[in-house]
Amino acid sequence: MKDVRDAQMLGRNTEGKLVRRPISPFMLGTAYKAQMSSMTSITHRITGCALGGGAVLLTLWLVCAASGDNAFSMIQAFLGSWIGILVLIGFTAALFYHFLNGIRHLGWDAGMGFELDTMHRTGWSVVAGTAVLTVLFWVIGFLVW
Amino acid sequence: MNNIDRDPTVHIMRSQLGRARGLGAAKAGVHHWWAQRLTAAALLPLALYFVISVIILDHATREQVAAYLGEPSREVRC
Repeated sequence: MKDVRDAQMLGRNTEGKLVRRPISPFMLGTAYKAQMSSMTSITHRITGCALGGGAVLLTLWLVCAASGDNAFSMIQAFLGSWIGILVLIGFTAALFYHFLNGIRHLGWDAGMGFELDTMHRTGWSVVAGTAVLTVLFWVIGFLVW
Repeated sequence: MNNIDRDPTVHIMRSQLGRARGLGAAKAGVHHWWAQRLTAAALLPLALYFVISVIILDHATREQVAAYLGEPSREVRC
């Protein structure tokens, strides 16, 4: 026994034999099927981290805008390339998802929306809203403006 | 845990209480919770402002970007 916490894992089976008690499987893997609650939760965290990276990119863009035409045209060229556009599409999708699901979280913090059917409805609304807002944003960005 | 059946004794003198003592609440939980809710709620209008700003600055020259960001009322963004 190496860790004191192992003592809490000890149990006896029906024959009185000392055994290590079973533990539930790790959250990732094949043990659990995908659920609205777990999927929206993990996506909220992933998009949150991605937005941290997006904030660094935004800061870089601001620094370039502040330093001069040379730096600014460089970052504009990068952001305008296909890989830059791809990154920006990911950024906006992450932003809209985190924005909408964040409202959901604030509702939960206030004690609202815990019923299963409500949770599924708001979850799908967040997914659909993210898609609609992202497409809308890029339609405005590319075509209308 | 291999020889668990031969040796069921837990050879650790320290009690569970002794291990857990001093690891209690930091007494700052409520403040942190409120700070998180408040900044989250504040980000709702600010995020929309950011998105609208990006749309406005689409195809803008550096001078236009600098002028837009240079307005004192937009200090909140940076």
